[in-house]
Amino acid sequence: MAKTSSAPKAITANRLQDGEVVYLAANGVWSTLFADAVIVADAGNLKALLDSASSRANLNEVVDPVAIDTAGHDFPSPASLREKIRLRGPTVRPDLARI
Amino acid sequence: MYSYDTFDQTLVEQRAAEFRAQVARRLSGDLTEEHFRPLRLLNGLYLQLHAYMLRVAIPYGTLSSRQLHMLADIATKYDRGYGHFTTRQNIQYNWIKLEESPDILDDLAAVEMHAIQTSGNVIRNVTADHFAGVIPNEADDPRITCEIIRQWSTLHPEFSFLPRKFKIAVTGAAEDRAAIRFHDIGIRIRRDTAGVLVNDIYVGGGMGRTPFVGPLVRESLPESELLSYLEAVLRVYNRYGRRDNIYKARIKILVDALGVDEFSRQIELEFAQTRVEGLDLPQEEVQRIRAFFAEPPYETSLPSELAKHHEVSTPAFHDWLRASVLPHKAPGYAIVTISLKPIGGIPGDASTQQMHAIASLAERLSLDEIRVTHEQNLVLPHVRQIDLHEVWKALVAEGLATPNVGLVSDIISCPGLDYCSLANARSIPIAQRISERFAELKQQHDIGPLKIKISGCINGCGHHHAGHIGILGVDRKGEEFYQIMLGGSGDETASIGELLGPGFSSDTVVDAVANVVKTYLDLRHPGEIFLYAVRRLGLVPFKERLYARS
Amino acid sequence: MPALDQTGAVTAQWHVASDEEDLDHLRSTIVTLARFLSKSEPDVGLLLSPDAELDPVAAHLGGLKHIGVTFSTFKDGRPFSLGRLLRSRYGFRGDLRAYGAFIPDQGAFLVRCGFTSFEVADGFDVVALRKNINHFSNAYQQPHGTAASIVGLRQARGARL
Repeated sequence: MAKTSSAPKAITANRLQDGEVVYLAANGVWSTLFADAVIVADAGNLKALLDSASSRANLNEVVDPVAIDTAGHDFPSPASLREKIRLRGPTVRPDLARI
Repeated sequence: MYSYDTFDQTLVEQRAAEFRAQVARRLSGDLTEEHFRPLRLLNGLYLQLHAYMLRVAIPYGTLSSRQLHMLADIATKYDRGYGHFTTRQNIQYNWIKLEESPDILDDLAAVEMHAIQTSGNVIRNVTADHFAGVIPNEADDPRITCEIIRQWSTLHPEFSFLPRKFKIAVTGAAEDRAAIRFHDIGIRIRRDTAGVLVNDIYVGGGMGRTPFVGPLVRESLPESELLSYLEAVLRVYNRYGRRDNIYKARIKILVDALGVDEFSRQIELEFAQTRVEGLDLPQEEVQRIRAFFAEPPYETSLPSELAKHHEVSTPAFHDWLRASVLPHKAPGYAIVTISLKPIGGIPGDASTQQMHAIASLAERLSLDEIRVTHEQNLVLPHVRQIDLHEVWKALVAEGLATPNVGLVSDIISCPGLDYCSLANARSIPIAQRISERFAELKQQHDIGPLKIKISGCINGCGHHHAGHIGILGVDRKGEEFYQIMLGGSGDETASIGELLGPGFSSDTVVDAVANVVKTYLDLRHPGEIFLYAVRRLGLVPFKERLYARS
Repeated sequence: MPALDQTGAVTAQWHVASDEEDLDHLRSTIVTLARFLSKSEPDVGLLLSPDAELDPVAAHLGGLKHIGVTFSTFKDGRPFSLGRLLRSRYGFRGDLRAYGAFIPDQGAFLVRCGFTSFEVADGFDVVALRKNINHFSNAYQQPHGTAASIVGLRQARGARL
């Protein structure tokens, strides 16, 4: 994971009760849609967001929140292959695609 | 096979109830993830890329049809209609919800199954030769020993917080189909010169970051002292295994650091005490367990039909017989291997429908028993030869009759980056493309026995170190990259594959594998299988072909 | 930080003495292995770290009344081995107490390895500890304690038939 890269970032986690992939959206809500994800370019804002994602209340809703790199300016998407797969589902089972 | 008494059954039910309470405490926030995680791992529940993954234990790879029907139902009820059989004879479900997992454990308990200790730093599922009890020339059915170890290791109070996971495998035959030399403890059961059953104990084998072939630590251990010996090994490991670095925490590191002689000396010191502390099973209990693995009531005076089938069969049936059927120790019977490697398919996956079909077939035509191999295939262990044609037709109807067992397209692959949060690269698409490249059966038979094993990360769940051709997926600057190694083997001639050279991109790795196979075909002696050719030739001719232009 | 016995009832705490302090001998006191080995003091027990070696004090263990074993983290299971060894090999018959970072869900394992009491931190889930200790009817192997193992129970059942 390119933690030190300067790419804009989103915050992702897995939902506690069912393991679903979720992204931190506006108003601290966790959404399964990447389109809802808050994209952060500023390191300071990122830290604040990650801290709030790791707060006790959130940790009862999600597991292991982390920041991930995004790419694409107008239509951001996860940058790494791993996060693309988390978003879309296993590449070998397109019938089980998430979106 | 073993069947639970009230003690076994109560324990499994109480374990499921305990987990239900732990999940409730987690969901309510009374338990943090940090404290809950090892507890959920003790019941085989991982958090993977897409959802929770549940690994259900299939002790020594043996299932009744009733159990397989339940595994199929679980796939439908709680998952997405399929399960994945693993290289340790277990089954995995990839789309599990935490809140439903206690219900799954209850369903499993109803058919004498569980997910106890299938992950975490504990003693894991004890695996065995998948042909146990039915292959000719076995010294003893290793599953008896496996069941004894299973009960001893279940919720063992001293060994539930080990430095790292602990894997044990047992074989009762001279041919090692259980890869015992690549386990933390590998046990070979044999008869000594007086015909008495003894155990040879190998300790410190493993795959992963630092592969080792486990050295022989104790020869000819009386079978009646096995548990007290295992207690000695586990205690030394629990006390002296490294806990400062998870990459150096397996027992193989301790054995290597101390050297076999010193390690053995420390075990013997501890064993001198444990063997007189009443830890071994009374003989009556051993006999009670042994009785469950007695020979089933085979029919006698059955016709031996294999010869007849070979004469009048269709080519397709003949191809399947050739790949899938082995002689059985009982006259008139056969061992049938079911390939879960359709050309271009996902290795080791089976749909709900396929699992139900196999379970029904087993109930009717395999004395109600199924096995899971270490190579992600299934076995019907007690098929009458006169029923082989009917079995084949039933398997064809479900897409389960690919005649490729042991051939190049019978690929072993971990789930890889498509599913696993530990992975660096995808493994399944590589397996699919290799399979398609070598789809043509005549070519496969020409190549002969060839085990390709693919792992998507260094943890090596695809057993790439033990592949005749091993492929390891790595992440090179964000791109999937694949290293090829040759000459590994998990059988009794155990060897670790040797790295061929610089890795290959996703685009070029399949060509590279094809190049390796072509090199073998060009240079082999008549009748020489791939593994032996590599051992004879060494890597130089393969390097020359593969890296000719660089 | 209260101490609890195996039933979860509160019991007396012990004084964990530093290596330097003078002892008042009014309280149950445990000291480190280093102090124990360096001077002979009456009526003290031991506080063992997870990597403790028992042979240097083997001769004394049978006569002690109090031994504590510390969990540095709950993942480090060496105290379980120490408990079993103290009971089965070194003849310790006194109160064996778990200290440190163990969790409620390790309660039953601790009891089965010979522990008879627990020192718990504030906020420790005592209810969960009690439930855990009492949850399973039987175990395949019962290294210490009065409950019979499943193997023993099977034998008794077989003998009656």
